[in-house]
Amino acid sequence: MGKFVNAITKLVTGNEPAQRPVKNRSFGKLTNRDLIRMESKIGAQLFGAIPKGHRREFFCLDEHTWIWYEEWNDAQGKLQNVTTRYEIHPNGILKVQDGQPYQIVEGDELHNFAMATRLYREQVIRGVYNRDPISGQPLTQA
Amino acid sequence: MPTAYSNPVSTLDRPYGPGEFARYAEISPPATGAIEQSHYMAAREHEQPNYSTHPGLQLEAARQDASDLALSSDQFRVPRTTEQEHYAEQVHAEAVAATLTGGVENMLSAGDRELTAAEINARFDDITAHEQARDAMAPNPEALPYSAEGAVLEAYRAGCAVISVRRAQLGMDRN
Repeated sequence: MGKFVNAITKLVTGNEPAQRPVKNRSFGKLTNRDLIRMESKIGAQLFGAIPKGHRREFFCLDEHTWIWYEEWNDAQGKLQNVTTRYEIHPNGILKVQDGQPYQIVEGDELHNFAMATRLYREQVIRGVYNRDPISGQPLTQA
Repeated sequence: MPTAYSNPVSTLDRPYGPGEFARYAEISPPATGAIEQSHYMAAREHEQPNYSTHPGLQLEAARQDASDLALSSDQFRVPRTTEQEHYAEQVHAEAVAATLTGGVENMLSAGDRELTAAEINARFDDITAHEQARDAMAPNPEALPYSAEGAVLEAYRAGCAVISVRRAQLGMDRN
């Protein structure tokens, strides 16, 4: 558990020294991980306000893989977390969670997931990459 | 068993104990505000065939697209350079391995460094087991509801678009 929490902490805060925060780095030096972290901040907000004491990540790992991570404290104050991986296959979407068998996503969850990916595309391409989500062209300053 | 978990916007707030949580966790619906923010995009796409300003109709249009396209595995192959293919294989291998061990950090490290052949080889067995389990669970297209194709197409399009601009940005970084 500790290792995993550390991993998630690194995911959000990064490994960079405190005097070199991501926001002060030139955009040209961002790594793949930096970009995913920036995307995830938008992705996490797609589902509304994050409850106090929760940590949420939602991001696109590659064309076929989306990750949703949720962390919270239970009634006993013990840290709980769930990592969910959605795999996009030609004939359907599979959901994989820690220690659980594969499940086919269907019904409302399927609809919610599809809508979430659409919103993610629109908001991330605009908000992180400053591009038009449809054309992919850079947005110009008004 | 009581649970203090309460998230008004998530379907996660089901009355299950922590031990049962993962089994029932489902992705929650996007917030209404986020959907409204999407109307600019929807209006743009309304100018194109098969789209409207209503999210539900967008999905319906996507489903129609999927039906027209008769989705197949080959359509999931995006032309790539050898370098891009190599990168994609690295990310996939790392993602599979990381998920098997329950780690996210390794997944995010995949694009930041070159995996050695030994590292990839060491994970082949795990990946094979993973893929066998996945294939055993692969959906039967004849048993799927029709709407699944639209969702697959929507998610795949979104992933391709995001990865495309991300790679473009990283390409710019290297120049």
